[in-house]
Amino acid sequence: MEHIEQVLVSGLFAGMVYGLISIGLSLIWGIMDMVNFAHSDFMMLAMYFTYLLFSKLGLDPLFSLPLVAAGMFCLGVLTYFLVIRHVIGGELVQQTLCTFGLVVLLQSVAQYLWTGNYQMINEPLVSGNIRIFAASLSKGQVVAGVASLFLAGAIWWVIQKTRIGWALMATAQNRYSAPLVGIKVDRMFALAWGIGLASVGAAGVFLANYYYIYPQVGATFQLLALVAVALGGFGSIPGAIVAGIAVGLIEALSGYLIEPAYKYLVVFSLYIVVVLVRPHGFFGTHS
Amino acid sequence: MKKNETEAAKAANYPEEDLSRLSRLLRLEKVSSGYEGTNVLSDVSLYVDKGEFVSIVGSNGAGKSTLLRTISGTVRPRSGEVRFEGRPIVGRDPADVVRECRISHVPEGRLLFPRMTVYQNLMLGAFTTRNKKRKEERLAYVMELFPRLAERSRQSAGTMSGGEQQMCAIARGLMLEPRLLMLDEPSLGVQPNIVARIYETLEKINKQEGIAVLLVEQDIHHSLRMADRAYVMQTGRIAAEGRGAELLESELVRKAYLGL
Repeated sequence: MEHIEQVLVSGLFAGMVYGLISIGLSLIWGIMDMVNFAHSDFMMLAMYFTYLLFSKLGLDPLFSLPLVAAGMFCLGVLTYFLVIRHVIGGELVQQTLCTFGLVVLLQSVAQYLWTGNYQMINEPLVSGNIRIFAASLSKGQVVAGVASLFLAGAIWWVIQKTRIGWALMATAQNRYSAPLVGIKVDRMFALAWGIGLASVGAAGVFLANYYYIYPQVGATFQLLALVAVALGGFGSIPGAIVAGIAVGLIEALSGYLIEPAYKYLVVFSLYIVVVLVRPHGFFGTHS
Repeated sequence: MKKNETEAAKAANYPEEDLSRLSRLLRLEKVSSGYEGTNVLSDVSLYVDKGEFVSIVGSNGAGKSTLLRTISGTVRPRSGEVRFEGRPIVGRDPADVVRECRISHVPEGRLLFPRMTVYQNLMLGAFTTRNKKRKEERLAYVMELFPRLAERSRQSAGTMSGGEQQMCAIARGLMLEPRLLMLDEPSLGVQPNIVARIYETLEKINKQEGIAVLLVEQDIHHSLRMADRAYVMQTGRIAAEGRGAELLESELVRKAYLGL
């Protein structure tokens, strides 16, 4: 068991990033009752933006973070008004096909513009390794984990403590009475998409520091984020953060204890068990 | 501005009815409204003056709730006009009606934010007010009106009893500092002694603060007795109007609602 610390520490930091990816998904789900299947494909887009800013303008991911996050926020608002708004109140299948359509669109555009080759950011400012207990981790991974946790916490704080955050919660809990106190539901939905894509965009920037970038990079993250949201409870931000970390740990542990090829089998089996036993997740209040 | 309009209209020698149209707080003219294909309201005309207490009674399905929704803008009328202080408000975003006209709609079934605390629900009632101090003062006022809410301020709104939730919904509506308070069946699912207390409070708000009240009820005894004026609705139309106490004695109401 000499590598157990290594496994736990890398699982933990990966999980923190999963947490940040998951909160945007959870937020949109909680507020609009809608699953954004293209969530991680928007992250892929953010990874490419980060890569392009680095390779064309020499801007390190550390500095392109605010730029990419702001751009993704705008893209989220735009996506809401151009696409999503038109399927609100529609059938579930309409909404599902709509965001699936975005998956195909985003991946195809990426393939067309940047080819299917794997890209990587060479020697960003944050590079090299660091020792944590007996584990050795890339600095990029550590920065990604810590910054993700911080950002996720900040978003939670905004929702819990600010006037606009309360308006978001109110919209999530009763979208019919929110307008009766003067809340514009349409704007809240747009805001949820903005925050959702900005947060997953930030995760994309962090990942770009040490992860390969290619058009289908979102797929695995999307599934893991869905598992985290289901575990944490639909719409629960702290739930998504904790569950994201749990998924990271389970993934790493099962890869180590059983067989790397089976790590997702364990994660997704757990997902099925939770859906059967506790459909609202562990922090969920949604009915 | 409103006064000028009235004077200009006077100068132009408009008929008497047009003058009153301009000075009403709320006025509906031949409003027809409903949902996807079905007409619920047909040609409804009514008005509420400043500081007035107006009741609308009618049986289940008469269109009372649709009427309030049409005023607050959550349902869009097919035809007719809704004016608040002389300005047309049909087609406005409901959130703008709240913000600009300060019409508070306390909906049927209360529709609180169930997993937020009573305090959060109340503060959201003043969502359009940005001045923090003003919000706190208003909060103190509504908590004085409903002391029970002060005791429960940290409790999730959805876990309270029906009566407490109704108080919370009315208090949330009052946080807006409304010029018109519309209530949809506040007695529904509330135990009788609390209903009486809620009505007392409504009367107090109307008399002390001068807030106009438009009350929709199935329970005709209380609501007609309290009202300055009242309307009786039947299958989407206004069947009668008059002073509340008179209507309670009228043939129509006695036949239709008291089974006499």
